[in-house]
Amino acid sequence: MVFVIPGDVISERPEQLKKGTTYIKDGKTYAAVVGTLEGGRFTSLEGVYLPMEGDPLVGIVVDERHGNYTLDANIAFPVLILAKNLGRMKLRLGDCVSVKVARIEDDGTIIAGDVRLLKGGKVIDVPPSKVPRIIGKKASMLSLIKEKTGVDIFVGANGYIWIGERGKVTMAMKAIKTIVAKAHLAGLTDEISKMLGSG
Amino acid sequence: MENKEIELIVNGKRLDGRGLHDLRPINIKVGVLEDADGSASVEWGGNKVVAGVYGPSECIPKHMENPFRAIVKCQYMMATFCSLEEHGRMGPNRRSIEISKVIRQALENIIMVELFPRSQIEVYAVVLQADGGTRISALTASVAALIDAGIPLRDTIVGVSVGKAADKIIVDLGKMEDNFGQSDVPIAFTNRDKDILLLQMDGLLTKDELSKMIDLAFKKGEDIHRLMRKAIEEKYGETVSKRLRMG
Amino acid sequence: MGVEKDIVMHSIRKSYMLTLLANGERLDGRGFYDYRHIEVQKGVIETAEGSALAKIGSTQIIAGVKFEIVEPFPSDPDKGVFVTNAELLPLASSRFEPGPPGEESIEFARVVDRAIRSAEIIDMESFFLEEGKALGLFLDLYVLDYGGNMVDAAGLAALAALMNTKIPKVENGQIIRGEYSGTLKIDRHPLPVSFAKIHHYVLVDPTIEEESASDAGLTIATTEDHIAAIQKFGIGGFKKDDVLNSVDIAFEKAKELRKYL
Repeated sequence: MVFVIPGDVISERPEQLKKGTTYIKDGKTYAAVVGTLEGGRFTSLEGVYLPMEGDPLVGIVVDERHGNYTLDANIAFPVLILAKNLGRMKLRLGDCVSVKVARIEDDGTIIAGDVRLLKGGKVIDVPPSKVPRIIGKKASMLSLIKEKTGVDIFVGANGYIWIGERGKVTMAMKAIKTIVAKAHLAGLTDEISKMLGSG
Repeated sequence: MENKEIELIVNGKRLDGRGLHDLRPINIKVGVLEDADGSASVEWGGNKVVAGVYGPSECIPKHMENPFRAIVKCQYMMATFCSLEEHGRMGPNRRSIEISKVIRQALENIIMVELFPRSQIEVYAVVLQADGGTRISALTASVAALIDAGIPLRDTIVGVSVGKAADKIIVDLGKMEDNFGQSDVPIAFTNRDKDILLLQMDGLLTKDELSKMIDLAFKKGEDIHRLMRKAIEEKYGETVSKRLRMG
Repeated sequence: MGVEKDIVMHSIRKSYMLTLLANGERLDGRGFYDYRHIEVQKGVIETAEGSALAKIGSTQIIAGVKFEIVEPFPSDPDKGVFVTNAELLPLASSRFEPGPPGEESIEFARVVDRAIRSAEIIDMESFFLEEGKALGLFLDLYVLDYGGNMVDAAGLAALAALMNTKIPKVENGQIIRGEYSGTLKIDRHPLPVSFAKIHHYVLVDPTIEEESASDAGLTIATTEDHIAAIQKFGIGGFKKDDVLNSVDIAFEKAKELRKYL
């Protein structure tokens, strides 16, 4: 496994990889962020979240104008819920919601849909580059945590994670904290399994 | 500005005992601040610099935003106590404003700003202790902080000052050489393609001298790049729990 | 520091915080009167005549002392001059913007200054050189990382820097840099202890989140035996009992903080 930093070569051919983590120049692919290269596969360890259509987000309502709501989703682009997409639902400042990125306008504004209110609980903030590890392959890691702790968890691709009130909340938080700290190391799934207790 | 009273080079050795082409000891650390999205500290000879990066985030003030790319804000400043001599004054001065600009322009070249329309990226570097070559130290810390923040970059930038003292070409000028030598050329360039992004010069040089200096800088750049790579790898050597905010 | 942006305290988080406080708990698990992890390092800047770095939790502040030859103030013609300045560096927080000192950084510098000045721990008369000339001691504070409670970290950094300060040699009315005639003698140690009030709960060493959830703040600086400075911050109010109770806690806490100097 090779550690790569911005500017290092990842492939001698142009590869279509996740936007914002690599770039192509003169037919070669280079790293734009810190990551690892193993068996020709590049995994980014850091990165700024770039929203894509369909991404789930967790946001907090911070502004309302004419029935349209603006969310704080900790990203550089405004996230809007349009009045017409809400139907009869009403939101208040400070409400926590889960949404999906419905579309991204030319100027970067994100229009959100599939709005669901997340009641109570709390929101924590993790680096977005760690989110895939928290979810795991086919959501295996997240399912493991939810099952073993009984806590309701919603993970936004933007790095906001909503954690419900009931269940073994402290244990769930510890698991997530460990994943964030050790996302780049092997043996993580085993460690988390042990931490949550088998059976 | 040559001062013939001070012998900057004696028997091939400089005031601090270095050879003509030796770098001073350099120590780079990333992730030294909690609040900033990315941060780094650089100790380079007697220089001590800390850099912090924020963003990409919403552009403030809004009228400065660019619909196609992020704007880059950069500020280089020196602490009032960074010089052994006088107590400086707080706030920017003409020199620090110029240096902020040349650093910003170097960084703008490598940051993939087109990925973040209407946003801003902020880079702040503070010189806590100065010993010649502060702008290169600050630029190095800024690049490391940008990498720490995970902001997409096309390449890293490495830099070093080259110069002339006692008619000899030297690398990495200390404060005395900076003040009393014959020429000082800070230069910074992308590591892979060697695109020169910062180049300033004072004193008098021939074209041949300048060419040799640039080659020497490119060669030394490899050492500095190695140190930067090592500093970033070190961050992953231990568990990283800095940026997790739990409630 | 120019424009200081407001932190939007998410109501979801504040209500969670209040639930915890009702149970006697803080977000990070501390007791109401506990400090976060503290570290103080002296002599961190070689170009300064005295320096120190203080950390409380994630808050980091560096203090540096430089001397210059100055003209004494007309009101105290036979004494030296002591000036404290502070800068809230933009790299310390997304809230701090570049620019001239705003009201927050000015207030902060003056509170730290007041504790030191009231306690009269610097022998200003010894700085007098000759008519119209004296030594000026410039104490400059830089906030490098802002995680809440700048004042207490600054108080520690400032005092540690003063305890680390060497007085430069003066010859023919000029400072000879790098040569020293002695060290600054500090025999009393005023330190600020800061409180945040959230509803009716009063907490020592607030984090950045507790500060933004608070209605008011109170800083009380004490020496070994006296109150040296008080500053009340923010819009909310304190009852008399809150204040007097805080004085007791401040004396106790300052004693603990002194161990780090």
